Amino acid sequence: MTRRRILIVEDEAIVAMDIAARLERDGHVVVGTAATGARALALARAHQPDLVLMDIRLRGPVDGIATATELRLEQAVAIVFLSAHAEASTLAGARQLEPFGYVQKPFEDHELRRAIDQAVPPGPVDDAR
Amino acid sequence: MTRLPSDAPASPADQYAVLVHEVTRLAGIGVFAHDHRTDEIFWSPEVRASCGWGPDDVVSLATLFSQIHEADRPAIAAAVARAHDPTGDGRFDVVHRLHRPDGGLRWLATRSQTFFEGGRAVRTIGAVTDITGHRLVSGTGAPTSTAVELWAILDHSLNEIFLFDSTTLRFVNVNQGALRNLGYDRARMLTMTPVDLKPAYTEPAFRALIAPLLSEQVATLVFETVHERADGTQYPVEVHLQLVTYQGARAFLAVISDITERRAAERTLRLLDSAIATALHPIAITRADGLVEYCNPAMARQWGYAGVDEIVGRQRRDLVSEAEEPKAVAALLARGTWEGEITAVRKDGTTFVCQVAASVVNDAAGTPTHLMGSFVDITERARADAALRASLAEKDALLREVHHRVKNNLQVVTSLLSLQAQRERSDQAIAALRDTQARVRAMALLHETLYRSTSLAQVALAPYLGAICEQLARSFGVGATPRLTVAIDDLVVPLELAMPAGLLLSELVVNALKHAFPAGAAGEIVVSARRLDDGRIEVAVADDGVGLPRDLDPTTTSSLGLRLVQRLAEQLEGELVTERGAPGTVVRVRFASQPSPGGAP
Repeated sequence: MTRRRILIVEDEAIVAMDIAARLERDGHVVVGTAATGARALALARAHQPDLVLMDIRLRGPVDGIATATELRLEQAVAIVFLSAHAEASTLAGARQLEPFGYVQKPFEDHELRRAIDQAVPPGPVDDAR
Repeated sequence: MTRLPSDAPASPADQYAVLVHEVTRLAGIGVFAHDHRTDEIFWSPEVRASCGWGPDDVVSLATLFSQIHEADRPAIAAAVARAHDPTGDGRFDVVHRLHRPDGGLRWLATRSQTFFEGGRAVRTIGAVTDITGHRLVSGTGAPTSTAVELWAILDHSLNEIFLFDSTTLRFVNVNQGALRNLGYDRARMLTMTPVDLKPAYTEPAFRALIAPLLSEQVATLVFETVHERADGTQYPVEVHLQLVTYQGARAFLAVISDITERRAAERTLRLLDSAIATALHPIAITRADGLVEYCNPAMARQWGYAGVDEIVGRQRRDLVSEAEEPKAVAALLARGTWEGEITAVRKDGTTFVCQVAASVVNDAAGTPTHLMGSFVDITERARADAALRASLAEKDALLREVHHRVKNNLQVVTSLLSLQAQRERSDQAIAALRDTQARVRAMALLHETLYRSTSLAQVALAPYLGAICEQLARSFGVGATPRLTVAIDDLVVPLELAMPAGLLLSELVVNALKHAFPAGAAGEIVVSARRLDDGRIEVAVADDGVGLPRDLDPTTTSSLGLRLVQRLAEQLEGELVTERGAPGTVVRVRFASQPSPGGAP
């Protein structure tokens, strides 16, 4: 099990809390949870996570794909999108951000683990960060 | 006076010409000669006197024609055409009426001969006899042949025709039409006067009416009144009166037309006119060449003109798009009627869209004379349609949003259950929480299916039940074995049936996944939904696993899942059938695709 530093972007606090609990049970470090795109960018700048779990639908003017696009301009962070449904149009937007991962909500633990491993392949992680 | 030229030598031909001239003058016969090449016409003084022309008046054929009585013009025109036809005999022989410039009416008998050269008319010579005084009876009292013929025509006329004495007013002659219409016999009629037939007039009033004719202030008098029959019934008439010479004395000739039908037609026309005038829809009539001859006030209002007079006299293309008008008119002329949309142009140049229903009016020969159109401004209708569509779209969007939120809330519930499960130590409690999570997810999927579907009231079972199966397969990590096969027909059910059907299916599939294949045994679960011959829907879950324990009665079990199945089947007012297979189990639920009006008991 490779421990990763993960930022959760999800506008439903309880859903975010559930995801965080499941990630921590697997040994990951949740550097923060953000409900909006702006908060996500701020937390990412502050914590430089290995991975961002990004809900595509977010409250506010900026959705998950736009947030991820902006974030990618700043840092080479891995992104795994979370969405209720595999919509062709939304995924087309996400694909421009290769490499990316995608997990359909609601997801099982094993599905989340596989997506994280694909986005950030297991290997030496800079623990000093 | 023309004298015989006795003091000069003359050729026999010259002498004959002078003689002919003198004889015609004495007989009151006028002559004329028309040179077609120069269009010069010679009218003798007798013709000029009959027609009321001065000795030096220049009179063309057109002038003559304009003086001919309107009713005689078609016959004259036809006779002239015949006489000028080079393939004919060139003869012209017509009795006709002529209005003198002073208002008097003369009866003329004209005979002529046209001569041709090289296939063209070059010269016409003719004689004109004024037969006004001879028309009915000759001056000696003996009817001329013309007078006899004329009276025969008049006697059989459908009009009532009377001659009455200018002094006593008593009828001196009446035609068959008058006797027939009024119901009197001839002898009785000859004792009566026009006043006896006209209840609207007293004798002094009638005499006052005809006084201008007697004093020759006017040549004819036309008026409308009512005639009374012998049986006392009345009918509207139009009377044409004029003074004639009859048996050497002055008499009145009265020609009467029964105008009952004309009155009825006029009344209908007035009604129609007022209906059109008060119509809310604009209506217009244009000539075939585009001139607007009529429009109703609605048109003037709609087009922004002060009144109909401002539109009448304009061109059709002033009122509708100049680009669209020719195409619409062409389509209308081709088919006789046309319906379509056209851009109308108001007085101020602004435009609006109209629905038009138009038709062509033809003359007796089938030639289009007028185009009629009625218009409906559909700008408002189009705007209202758009507003309605927008309102519906807004409601639709709101409803979808509600379903989306409900789905999100249910997702929060599953997260709560997940968080709770992570804190539990007892396997039994964790399993219970996981089962409940699956149930809430099945409910969330219904709302997700709805906000993605075209209908918000009806649920398509294939995507909904398919999504439940897919989610359960992912949740249980189903791979090669057991295999989950889904075969759901294209069925639609109302919202209130979809939720219990989905939950029921979820329970059955979870049950099969949990119990039918212990220790990773191979097998298949088949989920199906189809319409039965009796119209009901059957949802079935079949497995080829180990089968239900022999001692388990699905109807009395304490298992929550199976009890939920029982109750949901009841909610569907459905029939639940459990079949123990060899191997495996099949559970079927059959329910009507529309809920009963009273709902579940």
